[in-house]
Amino acid sequence: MFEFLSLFNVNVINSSIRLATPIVLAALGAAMCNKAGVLNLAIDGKMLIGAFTGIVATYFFRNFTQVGIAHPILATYLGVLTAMVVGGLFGLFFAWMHIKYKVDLVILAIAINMLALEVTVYLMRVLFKQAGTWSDPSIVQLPSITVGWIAAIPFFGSFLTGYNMIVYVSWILAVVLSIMMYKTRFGRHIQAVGENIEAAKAAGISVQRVQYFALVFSGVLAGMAGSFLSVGHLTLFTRNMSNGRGWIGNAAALFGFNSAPGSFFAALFFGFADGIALRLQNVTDLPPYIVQLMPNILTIVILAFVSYRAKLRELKRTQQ
Amino acid sequence: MNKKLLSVVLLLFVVVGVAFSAGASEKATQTDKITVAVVMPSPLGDRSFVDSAAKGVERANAELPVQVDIIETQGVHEHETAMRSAINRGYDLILGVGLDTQMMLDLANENPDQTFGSPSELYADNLPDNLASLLINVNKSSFLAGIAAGMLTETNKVAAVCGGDAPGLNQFFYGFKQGVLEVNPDAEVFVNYLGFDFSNPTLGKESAIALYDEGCDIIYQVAGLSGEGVLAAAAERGLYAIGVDNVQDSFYPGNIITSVIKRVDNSTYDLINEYVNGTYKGGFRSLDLEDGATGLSWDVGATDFADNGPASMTAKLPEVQKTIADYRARILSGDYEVYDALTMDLWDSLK
Amino acid sequence: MKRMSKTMALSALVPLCALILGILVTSIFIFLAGTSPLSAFEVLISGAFGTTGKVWPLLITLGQATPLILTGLAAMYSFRVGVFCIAQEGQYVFGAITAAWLGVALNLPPFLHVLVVLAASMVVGGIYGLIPAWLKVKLGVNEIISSIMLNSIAALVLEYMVAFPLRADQGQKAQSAVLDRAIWLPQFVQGSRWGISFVIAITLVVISYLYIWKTPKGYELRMVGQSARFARYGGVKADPTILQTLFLSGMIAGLAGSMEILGNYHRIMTGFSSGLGFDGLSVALLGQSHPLGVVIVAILLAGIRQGAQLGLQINLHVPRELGGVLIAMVILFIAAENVYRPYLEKLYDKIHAPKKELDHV
Repeated sequence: MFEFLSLFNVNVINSSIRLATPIVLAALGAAMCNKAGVLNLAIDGKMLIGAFTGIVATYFFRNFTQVGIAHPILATYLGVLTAMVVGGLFGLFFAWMHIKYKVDLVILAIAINMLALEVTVYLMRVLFKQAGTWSDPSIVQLPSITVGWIAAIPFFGSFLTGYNMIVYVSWILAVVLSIMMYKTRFGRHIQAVGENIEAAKAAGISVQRVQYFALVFSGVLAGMAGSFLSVGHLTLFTRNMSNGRGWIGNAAALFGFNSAPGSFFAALFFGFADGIALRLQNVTDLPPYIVQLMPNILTIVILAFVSYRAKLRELKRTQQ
Repeated sequence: MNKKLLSVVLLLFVVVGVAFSAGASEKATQTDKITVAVVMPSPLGDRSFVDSAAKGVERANAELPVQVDIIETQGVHEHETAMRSAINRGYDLILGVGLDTQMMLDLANENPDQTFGSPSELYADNLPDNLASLLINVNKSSFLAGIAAGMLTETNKVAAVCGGDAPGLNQFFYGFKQGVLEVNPDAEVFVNYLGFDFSNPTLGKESAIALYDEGCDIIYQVAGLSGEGVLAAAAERGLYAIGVDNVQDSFYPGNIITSVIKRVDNSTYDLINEYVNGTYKGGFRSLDLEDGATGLSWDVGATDFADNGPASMTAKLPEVQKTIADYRARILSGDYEVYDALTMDLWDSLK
Repeated sequence: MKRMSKTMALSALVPLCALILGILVTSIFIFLAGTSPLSAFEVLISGAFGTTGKVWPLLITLGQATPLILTGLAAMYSFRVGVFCIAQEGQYVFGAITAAWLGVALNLPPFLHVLVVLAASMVVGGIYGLIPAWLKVKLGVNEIISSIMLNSIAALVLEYMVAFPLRADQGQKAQSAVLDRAIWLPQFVQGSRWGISFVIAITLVVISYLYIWKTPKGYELRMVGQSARFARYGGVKADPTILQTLFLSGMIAGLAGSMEILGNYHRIMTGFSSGLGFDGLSVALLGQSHPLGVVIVAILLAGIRQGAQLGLQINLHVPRELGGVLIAMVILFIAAENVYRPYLEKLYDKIHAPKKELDHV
């Protein structure tokens, strides 16, 4: 048991944070969509598209002279940006289809997830003559940034810094979104839509605008999460690279009551389960799957609890 | 009623298909050449096992009067269908690369007129006459890599990241461990199993980082595509890794000490060649160091580490290589025995 | 009467239109890969539905379609009762785990053994189907969301089971021991995978049709599906119907997993499922949640996969992913039906306009 406790050290935290980052981004996006009343199950597919466009764009920025990006790290940042734009465009497409044509988002998500999986491999074959993995030596990984004064903080310093830009952005976003949701007008509009769409409409809030924003925003985050996988954490693309992380993000959003800080910490929790699972075998004989099962089961329990409370509240209101 | 309309239309589609089929499906088999199908366990592009077999196919297509088709599969759920469809199309020889033993045996027994082969990883004692299996043992070559790791480690901690805890993979790991301990009895050898996730480089990378954090400085990867993450971690940390299957030294020159190569390309080519020359013979054969089927990337002239590695380590290389040559000679003469996880119970010295 | 026939015609036209649009878009991809789309589709179709060779491709396709028919049927039940449960994947996996476990653990006369295994997997699948239903009915948990969690739990449990308790040590893979041949489900044509499971699946399709449209229970089910509140006014209790139907749905998905193990793989390993549960969803959606539609779409999907893998890949050296692209495109166009539906309606009216006037006379 005490051996188990030895797992909680700086290295595990570092590694868990890296594993959690794509989940954090997915969860923040998913939470926003859930608030806006548009269930977005295509985050995994958009993440995969982001991973692919991220690395391909980086490659093109590096190697096409007419574009002329000589600086390798700048090219990588532009690659990440491209992935975000493409992710956002897919989000826009979703929003447009849903709001203008009343297309069912779940079915659309099933199609896009499948399409992302197949088309990325198809393009890898056609563009690069590779089927399973693609990478190019000219692509440089997103650099890790260690902020001196943070690193100097005793104890906390070592796990608060030393990551790449996307990790910091995910943290900043969590904070900014938390403030935005409670302190700004638009944030309160989103909250209102989340509570009750009809009431929000009656109060003159543009539900469409909120939903457009949520879907585009979550697309941008999914694209960024994808590029974290392909050029942030590694410098290669593999078939089905997102590997279900988008779905975990959906779960984490619910685990965190669809609030920004809640989803952030829930996603970290999922990341920690992964980080600990992969070190567990060094200290115990416990199968790693048990640790990975925990957040999943807890999510269901929490969901049940939250829904039950909501139901009770509803009952009370109708009785009055 | 509406559904009937729909069904009629869709059934029409099917019927048209059946009509089409008569002409189209026999095209590929109507060449004069000998035809061979090679069914892969997963898609091309893993830069190790599958690509190695594909290299053998390429060579056969170039050098032999044969038409070899590669059939990729997405995973275990497609293996049997792919094999059966290959049988159906009437190939002269069908190779299954790293597919399930039981399935291969069943197929061979069911289709006594069809010739099968497996260029790697088919473990069985009794094979029918129409199934030839070449098994490449990697324990001895892993042992040689272990010697290199044992001599080059500066922290006295080395590790392996293994795709899963199974005899076929432990053959790599325990051979390696024995090699490390042989030249460096004080060293600690860690292992991290990935729960049979061979296609998750993110997981591979974090596992490797976990081991580097434990103080390991050399990690042997035996994890297919997940292993790419191990190699990337070595480069990122400025530490070292040992590649597997293919010559992977050049992926991150200076960080990858050597690679344990498993010449699935040769065994694939050999099976096709034997069939073409009429020397094909069913049954089980194991290949090893002495057949050139396995070894270190240094044997085939990889010098990426010697050229790019740090001076403190490259200075030791001649001595390392000499020790390896000594052990190789002793192993080949039968003077020294290397543990084989496929056929032996675990030795106490390796626990 | 007039309006009825128009909606009927449209609900047949929409999938057809989606299919045609899907084929058109996929053709662009095929063309970009450097092949003539015409020959690609010819090869795709012959690789999927051909009737040549030792084992006809058509029969292999039917074999492949069997689990899809069942998971599609399972999803259909869920949709019909108005619950968008997407846990078929988890139910399928749990059914398969149960079969692989009991297939080895029990020692019974073969026939009885098979029956016990199938029944047990159905119960396990059914219970796994009850979880999201119960959470929805009693606590109001969104079924899509609980399904997602249940699917990932099932995937992790599968990994655990094949790596630890069910593990048969051999080679480089994590897999369970091979089942005794006596309890393998028979195939009609050796090597086609087309066997007794297919007959069971088709039987269930017929039974499902009769159950949903010809029995009082089925009527309740449809009423609940159309509107839970409306059904309650009509004297139908929605909650028990939802629970029963999702139990049934889980049983069918569990049976699919079980029959795949007994009839096909004869053991269980990670990656045996390949997302068949999710494909079941697509099948039910494309098949307009109708048993007959499910059968047709399942066969079509299995055929496209099969034809892409074996036809496109081997004959034409075209990336096999195009099969998946085609399927995804068709789903996309089904989802987007509202975009082109008005045009179809106009088209329909145009064709039928003169007749309409005639009716007036």
